Amino acid sequence: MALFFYLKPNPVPPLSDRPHRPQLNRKGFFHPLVLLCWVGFLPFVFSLFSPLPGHGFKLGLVILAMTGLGYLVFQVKRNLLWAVLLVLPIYGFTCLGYADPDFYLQAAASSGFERVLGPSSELWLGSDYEGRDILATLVLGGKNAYTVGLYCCLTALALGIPFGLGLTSNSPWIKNPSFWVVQFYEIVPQIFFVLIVLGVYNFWAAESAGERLTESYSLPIAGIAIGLSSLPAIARIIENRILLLKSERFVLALESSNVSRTKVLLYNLLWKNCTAEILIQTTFLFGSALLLESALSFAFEIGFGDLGTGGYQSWGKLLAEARRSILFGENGWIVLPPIVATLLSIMGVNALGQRLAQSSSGSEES
Amino acid sequence: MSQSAPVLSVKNLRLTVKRLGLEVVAGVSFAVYPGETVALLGESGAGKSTLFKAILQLLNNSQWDQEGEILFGSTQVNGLSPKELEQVRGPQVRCIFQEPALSLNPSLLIDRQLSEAVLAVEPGLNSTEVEARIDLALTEAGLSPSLVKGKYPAEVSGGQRQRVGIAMSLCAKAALLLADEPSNSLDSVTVTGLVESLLKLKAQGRIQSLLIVTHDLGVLRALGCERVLFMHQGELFEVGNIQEVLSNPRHPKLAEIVGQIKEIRALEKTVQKAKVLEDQEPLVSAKGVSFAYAKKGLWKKPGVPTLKDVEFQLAPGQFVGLVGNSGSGKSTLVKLLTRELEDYGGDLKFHGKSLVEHGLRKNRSFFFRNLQTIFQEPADTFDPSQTLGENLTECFTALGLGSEDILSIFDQLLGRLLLDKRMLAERPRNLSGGQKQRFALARAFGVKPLLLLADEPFNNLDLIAQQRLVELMLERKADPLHPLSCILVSHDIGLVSRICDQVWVVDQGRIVESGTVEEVLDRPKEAATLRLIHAAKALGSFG
Repeated sequence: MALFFYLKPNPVPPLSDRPHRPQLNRKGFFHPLVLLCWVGFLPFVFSLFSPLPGHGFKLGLVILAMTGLGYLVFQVKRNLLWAVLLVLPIYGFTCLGYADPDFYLQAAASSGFERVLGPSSELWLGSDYEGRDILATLVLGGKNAYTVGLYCCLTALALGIPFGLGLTSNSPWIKNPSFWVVQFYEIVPQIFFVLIVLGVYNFWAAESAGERLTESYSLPIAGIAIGLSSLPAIARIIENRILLLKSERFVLALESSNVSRTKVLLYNLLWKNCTAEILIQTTFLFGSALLLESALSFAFEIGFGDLGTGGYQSWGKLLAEARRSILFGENGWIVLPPIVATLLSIMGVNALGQRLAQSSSGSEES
Repeated sequence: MSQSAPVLSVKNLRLTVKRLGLEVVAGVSFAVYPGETVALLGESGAGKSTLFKAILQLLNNSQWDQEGEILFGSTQVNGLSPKELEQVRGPQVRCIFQEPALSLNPSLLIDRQLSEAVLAVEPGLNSTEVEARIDLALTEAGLSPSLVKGKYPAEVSGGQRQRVGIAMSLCAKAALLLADEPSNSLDSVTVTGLVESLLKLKAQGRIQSLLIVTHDLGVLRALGCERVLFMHQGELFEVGNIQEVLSNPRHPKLAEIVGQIKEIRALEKTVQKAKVLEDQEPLVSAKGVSFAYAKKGLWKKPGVPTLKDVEFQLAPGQFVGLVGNSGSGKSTLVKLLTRELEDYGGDLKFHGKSLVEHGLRKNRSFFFRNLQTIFQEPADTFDPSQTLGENLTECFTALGLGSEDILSIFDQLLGRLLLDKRMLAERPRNLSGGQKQRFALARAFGVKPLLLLADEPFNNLDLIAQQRLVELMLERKADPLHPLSCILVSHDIGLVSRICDQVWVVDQGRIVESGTVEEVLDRPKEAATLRLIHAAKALGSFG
């Protein structure tokens, strides 16, 4: 009965009030499922403190958290639901990878299984050519891909916003240098830039360690390099949006009320009127970072770049290892898990961005 | 007249927004017969523009449900394919849009665009005939053809662009001409020109009938509308001719509107003209002020001067009307006063200090508090992503007001402006244009300014907002402690003569004539003043 009460749809407002936004049902916040959504952040905490042992417990918790997140989206923004459902698996992968790294590392490292077993009740996705659990490697790859994407987005935001603001400046001393930096990253091909940065970093790290490194590359450095090279995406969108808004009348009205120009620029223009666009662009960036990361690890795995193999699990690396099934002409299904995982998560992230864009432009019209 | 077949007949038209199920036009039927001039009145939001778009078949069918019939002659236009619509839209019906200057393509030569408009209707013409048509249309719109031909829209002035836009609508034959608020953004001299050329076109039979949407009663009177249609909440009423509407309105809502117009006029009659006291220190004074927009380029060189040697003095408690054609430099003068433009030559003082001194950080709060502006389109002057309360609070806080002061301003002003306190929690897009305009008035009058700069305030305000604006202005003017002065920028000398104490006529960057209203109106010396007075008389705005 209580559940029915919570799930009751919001009352439809009368026609005269239609332009008003439908209000969130406040009681929805205290729904048990929504409360569980906050538990979704706990796996990260578990990865540090781990109060309760047991893999099954953590798995159950992550699944509950994902359900809660889905329910919250259902309550707040129903039109985002399908997009979010597509993204949820990657969130779950990451949570699990962080919550229980030992379990999955062991599962992925132990080659006790027979090679290339089909899916069974024990091994849900079977085992690969090294005799490892494919599901475990998928989870670790997802966690790593997510980490790279996160670093990429943070770097692009941290540098793209100041450079984007610099592009809108009237002073040539600020505008021109920002322009040069942004244009440099627009011109340089992304994958070469990232390869060069990683190569230089590895060379430097090997030099300082005094030996040849066996690890393939550093995840944060890869993320930051991808973020640097996709800085123009953020900077340009801020430039466009702010140049457009600057000519609006309300800016003039604010400035003639003695609101300082810096405040108008940072608060009214950037924070109040650009956040939606930046958020949407960032989701697309996240998707492209996932793609670039798997391309990168694929390239390293097939011997491009001379950085060695081993180390981090990644969907691209899984695919590179599985490609020999095509050479042998048997067990072709083994390429499917990494491909489907990459495809689904990139599609999900892009769908989320698209839905966000639609809902933000739609709300402005009505 | 009813024996001949109608040019346009609309039968039982219903237009519904699909997504909301909202009926914007509810069962409208009317007809326009050849030779008629029909006016369509109504408040904003009554469905006039939607009806216009439906007549031109410009509504997006995926968002709108259309029921009923729209007939041009004997062809039904709703449901026609785009190819078939081409046969209707050019030769049968043409339209003058709200901002004729904006209907030009910026990257095509002006004569190329005009010839396109001619050839779309009469494809058989050869180039010399087209040329003759264009010349004729441009002359009728009040432009000499050699001035604009071979130029891009950006190369001619704003007023000239408007006239080109009008010429484009007038250059070919049409059975019916639709005009959607054509006088809204034009200055009064251009409007009289437009009215004259419309009358001429009808007399020559180049357009048969005219359907015009406007809230400018002067234009309607000058055009001599035979029939007035009134639209209210999606329904249409026949309300007789224009004289009847003004003397004896039949519909209660229309009576209310006419009553408001009369009320504003009555309020304006109570204006007591202030005397200029010689010994008073002027609030604003200018000596030899000149300004030129810098041209963009590698080397910044000064362009053609927009203001030359402007001199004036404004005493506290004085209302001044700044009149002149568009492009004469009025707006530049206002922008100098609000410090939106800097780097002027000469001496410009406000409250005893030069404007450069006012620009210092410590003086800025005082300056902006005492100088408030009502912008040309006050409804657009709110940050769309903040609520109105946040918008107003941000401005008031920046002007140095505490939260208690702000709350007391809300208490005093919002009720008077017919606004609800709950509206403060709304985003601007959820309020109507009139409500936003009244919020803009609250922002301007909340801080008790000494000087109010109003740039064409009556052009875009709805009637309630106009009434409140006049009321507040007069009340603050009589305030002994903070007497309000006002610089009212307008191209309508009739309006200025009713409210203001003094008139300054601006022409080509100079104040060519100044003095009290009586002096200037009764004994005009300059050609520019005479032109403005003539235009105002033609539109009946002295009445």
